[in-house]
Amino acid sequence: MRSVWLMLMMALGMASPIAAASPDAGNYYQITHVPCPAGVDAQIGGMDVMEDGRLAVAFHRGEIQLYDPASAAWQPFAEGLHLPLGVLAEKDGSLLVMQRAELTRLRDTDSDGLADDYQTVWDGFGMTGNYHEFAFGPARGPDGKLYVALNCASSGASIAREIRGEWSEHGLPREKFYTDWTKHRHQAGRMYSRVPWRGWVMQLDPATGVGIPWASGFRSPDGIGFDAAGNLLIADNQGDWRGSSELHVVTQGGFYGHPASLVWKEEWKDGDPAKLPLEKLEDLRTPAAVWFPHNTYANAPGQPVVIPATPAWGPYGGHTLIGEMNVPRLFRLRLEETDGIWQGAVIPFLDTPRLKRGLNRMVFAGDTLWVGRIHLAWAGDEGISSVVPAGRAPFDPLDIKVTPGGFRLTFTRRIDPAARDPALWKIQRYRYAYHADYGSPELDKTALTPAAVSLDPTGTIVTLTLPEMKTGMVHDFDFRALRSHEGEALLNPRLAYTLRRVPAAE
Amino acid sequence: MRFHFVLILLSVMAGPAGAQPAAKPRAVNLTMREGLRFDPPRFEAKPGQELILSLENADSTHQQHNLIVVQPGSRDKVAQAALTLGDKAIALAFVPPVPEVLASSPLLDAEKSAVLRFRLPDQPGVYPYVCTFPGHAAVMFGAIYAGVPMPALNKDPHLPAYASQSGLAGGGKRPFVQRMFLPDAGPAAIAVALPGSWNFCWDAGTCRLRYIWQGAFIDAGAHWAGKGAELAVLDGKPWWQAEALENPARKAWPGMPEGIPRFLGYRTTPEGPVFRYRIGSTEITETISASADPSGLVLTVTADGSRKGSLLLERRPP
Repeated sequence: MRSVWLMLMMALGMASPIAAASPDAGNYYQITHVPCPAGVDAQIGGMDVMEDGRLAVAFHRGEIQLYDPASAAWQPFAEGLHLPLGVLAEKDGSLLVMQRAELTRLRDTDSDGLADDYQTVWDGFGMTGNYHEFAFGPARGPDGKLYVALNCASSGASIAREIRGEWSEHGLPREKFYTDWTKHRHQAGRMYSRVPWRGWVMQLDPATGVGIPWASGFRSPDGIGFDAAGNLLIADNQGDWRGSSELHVVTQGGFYGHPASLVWKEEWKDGDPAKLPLEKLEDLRTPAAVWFPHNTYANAPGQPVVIPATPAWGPYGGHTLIGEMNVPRLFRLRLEETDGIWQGAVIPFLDTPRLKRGLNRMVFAGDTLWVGRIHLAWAGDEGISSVVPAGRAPFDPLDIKVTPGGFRLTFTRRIDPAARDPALWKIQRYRYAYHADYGSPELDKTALTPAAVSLDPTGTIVTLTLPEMKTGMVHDFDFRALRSHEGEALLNPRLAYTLRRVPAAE
Repeated sequence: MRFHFVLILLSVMAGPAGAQPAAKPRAVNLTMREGLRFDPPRFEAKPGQELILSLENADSTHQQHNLIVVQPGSRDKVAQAALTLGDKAIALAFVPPVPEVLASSPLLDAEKSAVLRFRLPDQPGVYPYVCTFPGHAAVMFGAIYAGVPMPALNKDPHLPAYASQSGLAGGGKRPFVQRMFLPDAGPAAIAVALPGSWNFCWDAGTCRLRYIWQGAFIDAGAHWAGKGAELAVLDGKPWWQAEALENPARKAWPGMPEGIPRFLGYRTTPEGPVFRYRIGSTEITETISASADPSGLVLTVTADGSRKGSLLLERRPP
């Protein structure tokens, strides 16, 4: 019954009228749906822009087709891949594609327009045949290396008789996977990692195919990308050990919370990691930099990309953009590092049914943002669309930074001086549990009113002083009562800042 | 937990009673399946006919679904209206109070059933059905053809794209290579359709030929329609199968070095793929193609560029 309740809550969240009070996003962004080629299942696993300007698109059944925006023509390039979930173009016209079993380089060696060489770049990871062992990426780092992320298996299904890679003895004995699975599945761990590098991010050398285990603790890390400063970002999905969906800033050797992957740590001797005392896991883990509040913001975030610093994208240049599967909504992420700890905000950016759901993959080609959709067995949609700014940027919350006593918010336009009234600022503070259960309610929920509000001389920067600063908490801002100097409501009247560390007063 | 509720719903239907001779009621089983699908995705009825739809939510991902039958051409409108119900959404089971709705089911939990009984309008038309649970309507829909001819499945504009696609990998193209979860193979298996009717499974996990069969290749429809848990189905039974752990290429080249092979990929040619793998420092290629006399397949091995041997895999009469 619990899952039913969650679904109902999810549905209610989706029907939340917050967005409806906002101005129309269609006035600020032009969204164009592009027909996909005939005969394909138009779920998009990966997209990238090639050197010649064409868009390389991976479709659900394993085709890669190239779309020329100038002629609006599709051309087949490759076929027969197994659930490709990421595409990365290389300078020489070849494509790197992450499919279930390997990272593959596709090359057209006889220049007939079709790939004829399917080169295995890296397959040094295990597979149990479990459907949830998705493979994501690759993302290219500033170091020229590739980064891929490997999904854990799901106890929604067992494993195949034949597996690839070493089997970890930590956890439910293998024979129990083959006998009376429905009885044993609850002992397997809701998401499990019994073959190498499940739940890990790997660093790969694109030339040699050598893979290095980079970071662990992931559950379903569908969103992998780099921000403008070169930080590796990974979005992971709400579920077990994930009270809500999370955004992590990933560094080498980090452990990001989901315990299943720990069995592949060098010299692991502590048995089933899910059975470790919670305090031990807390000691090991780096908490999420940002929570995506479940139901009200995002339920399944996708791939992060960087908005180009061009006049068309105005004040948003260099910001990270990320999509979402369950609701037709894109977000910006604003991250900051305080005393070595990452924290920051998720801010709705484009929130309109016209965008459709299933916003899994994105790429910028010049000023054009391409979005590609997916659903598999879950909520979502299909096809690709282009998004371009229609002109002037909307009245929007542009940025937020933590201060020793509160937050400093920047808006895209001058704010009405009435905003000096603290009663206009509504903040909900809450947190999510770190536990083996699936998801988490919002805990310790408190309504906050700023103790003081001050506007800077430009009228675009507001400093809020809070009565107290509490870390480990989402600060969910509701800006619906605010107006610009010209009387406009905000296009996106909310944001959620996850506070991890309060900076010391100077 | 396996309660099996049956809810009988009577939905009042428009249409002047007795306007035309009443056709017999038509009973249809409609199943909600994994991958946001209605099964079947379409069916025929007569205008004005009474329908008895037996609904079952068999979605293995345990999502809730409803089914709403709507006026021709109004699927998008009704689906959008369902998203604006706000706090009333649950009480209304995501059924918007708009005149285009002809009949609607309750919200069905997984493993629950319901019977939906109603009369189609007298106007011939294509009457869509759709699930309006948030996030589902874009792909989870189908069509009732009432007095309107059904087009070919692959040309039906009233169906989601997946419903009109055959599960035959490659759609009959040969040669064709499809990486896929296959029976009796490792998870990194590759299915190959060669010219003619030959098919084989080559396992990239262990770099070896696993089995050969003849027929229309593989049906991966169920695998693709959901989250990917299903194995593809072979069209035909393998008539040759490698022994456990045996690499048949070693029979073609007894001098093949010992060691664990590392898969390097494949090159496509008009005759089929050329597989590459490495054992130690030796780079090996392996091709499997139709033999000159059409009795079987020939496995040919090269190493570091020179031919090392071949093996005839013959189909013997039973």
